[in-house]
Amino acid sequence: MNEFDLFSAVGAVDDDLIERSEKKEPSVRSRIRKLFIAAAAIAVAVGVIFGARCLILRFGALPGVTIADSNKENKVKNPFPGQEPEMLPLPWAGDYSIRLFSGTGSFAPGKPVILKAELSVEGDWLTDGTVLLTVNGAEKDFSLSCTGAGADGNVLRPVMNDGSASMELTFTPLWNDHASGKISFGLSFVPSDPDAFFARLSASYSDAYPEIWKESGTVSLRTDETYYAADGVETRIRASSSAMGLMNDMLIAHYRSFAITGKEFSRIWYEEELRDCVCVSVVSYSEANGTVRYQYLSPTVRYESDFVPVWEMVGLSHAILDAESAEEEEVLTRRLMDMVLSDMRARGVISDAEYETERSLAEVRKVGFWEPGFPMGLDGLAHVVQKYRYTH
Amino acid sequence: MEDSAIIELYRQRSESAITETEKKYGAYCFTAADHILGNEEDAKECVNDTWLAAWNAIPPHRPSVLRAFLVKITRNIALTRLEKNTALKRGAGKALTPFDELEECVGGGTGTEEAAEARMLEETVRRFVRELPKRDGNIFIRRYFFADPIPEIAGRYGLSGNNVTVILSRTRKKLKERLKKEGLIGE
Repeated sequence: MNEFDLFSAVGAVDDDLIERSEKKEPSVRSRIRKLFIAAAAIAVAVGVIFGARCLILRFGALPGVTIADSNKENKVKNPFPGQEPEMLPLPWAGDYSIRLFSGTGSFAPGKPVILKAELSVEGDWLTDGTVLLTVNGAEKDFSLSCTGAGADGNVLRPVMNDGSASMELTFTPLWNDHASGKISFGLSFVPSDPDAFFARLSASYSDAYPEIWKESGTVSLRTDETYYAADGVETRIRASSSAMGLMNDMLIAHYRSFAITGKEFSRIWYEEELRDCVCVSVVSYSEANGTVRYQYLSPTVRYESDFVPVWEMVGLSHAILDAESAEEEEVLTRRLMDMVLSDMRARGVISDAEYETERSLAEVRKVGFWEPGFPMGLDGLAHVVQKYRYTH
Repeated sequence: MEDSAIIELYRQRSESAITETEKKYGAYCFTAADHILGNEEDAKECVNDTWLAAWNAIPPHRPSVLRAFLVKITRNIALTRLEKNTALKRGAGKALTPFDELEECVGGGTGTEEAAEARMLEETVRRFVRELPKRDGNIFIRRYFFADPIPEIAGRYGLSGNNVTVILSRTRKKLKERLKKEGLIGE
């Protein structure tokens, strides 16, 4: 055998190995460079996301509108039929910044458009506020007289020259331990071309709004979601029943502790899982007085009590927290729910008919106990959904 | 044109089979031949002989990987030509060729006399290459199948020339051990 024989023999190597050897492979340096680029891209993406999140949490600068009109048929499914949007008390002080509306669509040049900003307040936890209206880049300030209960906002009559306007409300809530009430913001106007307006709105928010209500060319928009930061650290986002449009974005932040994404929540929402839920909570109690405050939240009834002398609720709530199984927790929760409904009926909060309806519905609904110390709203219902998904 | 279509042309005995083959694999086979022969004219002739050999082989043969099939033919033709003609040309201050390198594995023996021994050698080498780590196997094939120059191999795999040389050296040692173990060369 000589070297030619050996070289010749190499010709017998398998075809697949020959094919394999044809492929060029990147050098180590090239791989490192690619890794570095990938790492840099990830870092930038994380930075952008984090920055956007910080902005959202700090300023609540999520664009979006919701539609609600209590006087007209609302084609958007309202999970709380017959009820006005409602906010539960805000437990923390902090600066608010809420964007009501941005990019309203087409307006006829020179044609007056009435924009009405409404701010209704119950309770005593707003001291001042402003409406910042931007018309074609020019800002106009309007002071809000909103101290005290039931304050109304301003009626704005700007003249739109062309197609864009945005409005921002800023105000400062104060801590008030006993505050209760609601807050909502509304904006109504008459677009010169309703069809074009809705076409644009549908295009922008088609995911959030399967249908958008319109009638007679009058548009009523209402946003009931608020954002605020507590001590610049934690941000909680609250939503009322009509704040469907922003659910995705809001709940990404809000339900992070439940590992639920906004998209998933949206799916839950539209599949109407929430309609089958009812949530009850013992908010706080006073041993000295033997009194307790509770909350009840179902798709048809929402109520938060004053301090009432039903001390058994406290023992029951502790038993729920100490339950060793999901089944035991559910049995105890249903018992607490019965107790709560009875008390609500006894105090005239619900009628006998409503009591019977709620009780019969409770038998088929998913029930949940919302831990004391946490404000309950849609998050309470979502909590029930989550619990049932993971324990049943 | 897809390989399957080219093969079909061969099977239909269409002369355009050769045109299409040359169009697609002419440069590829020429490079392989040129690396072995180091002579452009000889390499061109080799490639032409390759088309003829392919014409004669297909059918009945139906290659699964046309490119590998063709380059193997080219290589064999080039090697035969080299073996016949280049004993005089070797050395003479030229860079070390793949043959020179492989000589260390066989210790400068005489040519194989028996076809059976040649087949055994092929099988041993085939298995040896198959068992090599991927990178080493690729480098071995590029050097001793395609006769690629070291810098070209280094560029292909993102290695330094020295690194390739070292890898090849170690692989040759392993090959030598294998050949000894198989009784194909003496101790």
